[in-house]
Amino acid sequence: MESWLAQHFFNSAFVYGGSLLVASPIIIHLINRMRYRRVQFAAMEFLLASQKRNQRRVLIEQLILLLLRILIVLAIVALIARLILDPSQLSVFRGAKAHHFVLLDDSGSMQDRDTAKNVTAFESAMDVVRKVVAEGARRPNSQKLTLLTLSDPEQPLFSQQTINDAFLSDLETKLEGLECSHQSLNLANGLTAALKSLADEKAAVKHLHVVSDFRLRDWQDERAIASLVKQLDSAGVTVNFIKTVGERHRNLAVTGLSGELHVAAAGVPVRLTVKVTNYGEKVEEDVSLAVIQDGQKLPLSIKFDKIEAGLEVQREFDITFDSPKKHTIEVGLVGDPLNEDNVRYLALDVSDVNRVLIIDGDPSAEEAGFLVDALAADPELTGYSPLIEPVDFLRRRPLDEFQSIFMLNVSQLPPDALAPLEQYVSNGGGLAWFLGDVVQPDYYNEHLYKEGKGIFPARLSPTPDELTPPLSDNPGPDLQFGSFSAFSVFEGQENPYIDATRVYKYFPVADDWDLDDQVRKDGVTTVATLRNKQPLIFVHEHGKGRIISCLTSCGPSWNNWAVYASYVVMQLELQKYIARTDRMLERRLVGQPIREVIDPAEFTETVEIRSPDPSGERITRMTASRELSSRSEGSDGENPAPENDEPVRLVSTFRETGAPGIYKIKLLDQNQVPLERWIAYNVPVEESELELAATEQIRKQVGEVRVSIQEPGNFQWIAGRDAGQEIRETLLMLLVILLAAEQLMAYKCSYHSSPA
Amino acid sequence: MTQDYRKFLRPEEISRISRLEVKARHIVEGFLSGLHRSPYFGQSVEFVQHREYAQGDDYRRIDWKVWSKTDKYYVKQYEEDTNLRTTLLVDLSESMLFGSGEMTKYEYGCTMAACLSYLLLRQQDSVGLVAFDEAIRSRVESRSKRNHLHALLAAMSNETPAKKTSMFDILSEVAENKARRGMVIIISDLFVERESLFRGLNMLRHRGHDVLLFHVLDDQELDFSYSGTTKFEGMEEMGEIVCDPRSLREGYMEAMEAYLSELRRHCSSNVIDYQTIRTSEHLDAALAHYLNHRIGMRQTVRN
Repeated sequence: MESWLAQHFFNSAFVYGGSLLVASPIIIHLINRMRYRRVQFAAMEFLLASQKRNQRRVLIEQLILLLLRILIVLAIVALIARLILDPSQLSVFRGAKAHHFVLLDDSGSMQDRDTAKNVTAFESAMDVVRKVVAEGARRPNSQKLTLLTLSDPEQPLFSQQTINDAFLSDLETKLEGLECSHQSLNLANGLTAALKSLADEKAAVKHLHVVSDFRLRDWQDERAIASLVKQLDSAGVTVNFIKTVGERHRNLAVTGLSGELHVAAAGVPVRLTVKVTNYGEKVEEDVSLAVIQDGQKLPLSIKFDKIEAGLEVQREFDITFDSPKKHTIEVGLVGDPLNEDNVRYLALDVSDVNRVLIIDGDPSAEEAGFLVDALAADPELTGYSPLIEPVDFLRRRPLDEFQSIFMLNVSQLPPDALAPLEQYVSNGGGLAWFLGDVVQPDYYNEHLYKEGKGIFPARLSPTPDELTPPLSDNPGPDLQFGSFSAFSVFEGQENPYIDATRVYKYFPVADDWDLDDQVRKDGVTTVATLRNKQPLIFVHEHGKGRIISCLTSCGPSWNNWAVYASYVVMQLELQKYIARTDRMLERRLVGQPIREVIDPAEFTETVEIRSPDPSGERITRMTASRELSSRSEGSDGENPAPENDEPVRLVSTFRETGAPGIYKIKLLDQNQVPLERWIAYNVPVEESELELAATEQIRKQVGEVRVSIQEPGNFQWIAGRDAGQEIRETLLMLLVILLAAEQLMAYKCSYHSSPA
Repeated sequence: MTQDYRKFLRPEEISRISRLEVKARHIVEGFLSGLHRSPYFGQSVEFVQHREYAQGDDYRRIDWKVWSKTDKYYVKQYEEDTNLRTTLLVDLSESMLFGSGEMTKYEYGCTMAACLSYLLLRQQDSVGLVAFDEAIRSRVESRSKRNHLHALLAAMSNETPAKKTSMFDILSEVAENKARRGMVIIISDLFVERESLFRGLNMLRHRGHDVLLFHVLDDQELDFSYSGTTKFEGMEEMGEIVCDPRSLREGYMEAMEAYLSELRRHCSSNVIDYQTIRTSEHLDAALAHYLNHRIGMRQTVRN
């Protein structure tokens, strides 16, 4: 009984006294019956007649009046004792010893700053944790706390720590050093960790407090969260969602920074594209971006007059790098509530020149001359350095130094030339085929096409074909381009040079080779066709490399394209498309660890990582250690010996990649020559979406499982002060109704002289 | 003894009644005398006027003092004595002792009887008194002398209400003993058995008596404005009851109103003057109310 009262009344001690007060109307009624005045009355005849007639009615009225008065006392007692219909609303610190599992959301959106209060959502969340623990400390050694961040759900900050005054200081120290991550985190992971920890615990009362900003985006995977909450509920865990953000703030974010980085060369302008998204609900005007190159602000202003709510805008700009080395680019906004997505970082390795190899099957290399003119008429403008060589070059020299290789009118390749070419493409090199009159279709079909597994995209017919001359005066262009990024400059407009381009001869594909890309599904895409619908240009991939294959000549022998200006554009675009990208500096999202696998024969075991820090750069030196292979993990012994057929690898993992910026990894080879690799880390764009999930929406998505949802800034739930709010209002209304009914009843039962 | 009966005719009452006298005189002359005063001037104590002698006048009425001065014959004219015989019946039952105000119904009734006696004696009417409860407790024969008032007051003050009322026996006895027709004024709270009351009143009317019924009631009996738990102890052995009077008031008022309506209806049908008198009302107001009512009723009857 006592526990029931404690669960259903905030001030259960008042219930006992209140129960006695319920008897007061009865006692008063009985006393009134016993204490009466005597009156000698003459007209008893009429009084007795009245009593006889009204005895039942009077009795009922008296009982109703008595009942109303008892109910009034009961309502007052319930109000003072704070009746609570839902015991879960009571303070989480009441009753038995409890385990409080606090899941702290430290995703990037938690850095959203409330400019009015000058506090971030994460700071508000830590304040909630402090208050929860402080309330628990009022009942020292009766409560336990586990504190977990969403960014690292496997490693609790505190695990089942008994809450007392000593713990308060430990917590404060830990919270002072706790920083919000910049990552996009999944709430389901945190809930899974909580379920794993709490499900097996049977002794204590279990509470899970999820302290988060509850963005709408967090609830996209509603079924997973609803399922986890249901499992938690089934495991006897009281789930408590605590919101830390009351309203959606405006937010602008730099959501993209990209460009033709793989063909960047010193002195050649590199075109970059920056994207800005307005995640707020209002139009943003006069948005300015600053561009910082290698830590120095450039005299370059990117300005958007207006960005509509919810829209993304982009702007292209050119930057010229003077020296051939690694550079950093940083584009940022100023004065936005969520700072973390206001900056986007980019690292690029600028070459002195981009070398292009041209293999021409014709010893005179006439057609190669047109290509060289197209790519590098002025190398300072394009940044390309073409090299014309015969087929033997492929056998003699390494190919990795070239960004791409153009094969012009090559009849066939010796086996020792084909193998390095295939290896080159597989490793990421770019390859372009142009045919001609010396091409041997049988060789191409057998050794290059290899039934779709080679470095040529299609099976050729035995002989080249001539494109039938147009019969009419206006036959339309010979070249018809499909949807292809490199040819996008030719789309959607009338191009007189393209219209004037004529193809006289070409190699048709074999008759049994299906022309429909969707039917073949071999990864080969037709990006240009001839007037007679025969395919002319293909693109496909081989390994990491890209290949473009043109079934006509590169020079003017089989077409007249080379005499028009569009030829230069086409060749430059093709070069950008096939240029190898495997040597571009890597771009990642914050939180992804840096894992360095080192060949000890080549490098020393020391790994130095320079990571971004508010004070500049932070240098971390690590020693790579031998990685346990899957086969050796199960073996006994602390230092398992490597298998004989498995090369030894040293591994070093750096996990502190939470901050956006440029991370520089430096290795030393055995000759102590440094090798540096840069990685640009940026925040995920998902965290920029600050739209909040409404309380009703959360309840709806959680389903029938009962969860408590606390509004931001409301801490009464910690002490349970707002428990029973809804029944309190009902009780007050009931009390008013009872009082009115009692007065009406009493008025009806009493005599009132009329004014007349 | 003097002090006792004087209590029913207090100076303030006499003063009020003196003011009433103008109206009472009009009533007496217009109504009582209208029925009982001789239409002729006769021999009486009260001189009214002189009139020149005319043939046929009684020589004995010639005022010789006027003849000696004027040498003309004038006769003196007097108000003739009335022959109204009034009997006051005053209820002395135990219920008349009830009173929530300054006066009990008994005191009010006796005071009222005294006032009426004074008024009637001032008009030379003869007034008798019968005080009764379940039997006649005292009787004063009708006299018209002014000093008869003392006898009437003494008769009332000698009695103390104690018993129940038996109205028919009383009224029939009064009817039997009054050979000459006259006026019977009954002052009572009428908490009696109704049938016997109506039979007694009918008997008086059959004997030709003019009956006036003053129903004296206390404010509490008419309004029943008690509150709080009360134990009502009935007078005249009517039992007792503990109740919240507010809850029974409505039923009580209905029963009381039904009784009063029945009384009014019966009196109206038998040409009996009936008037409910509150003990809180001043006597002059009560008498004026009655006399006004009396005029109106008689005029209606005459018309």
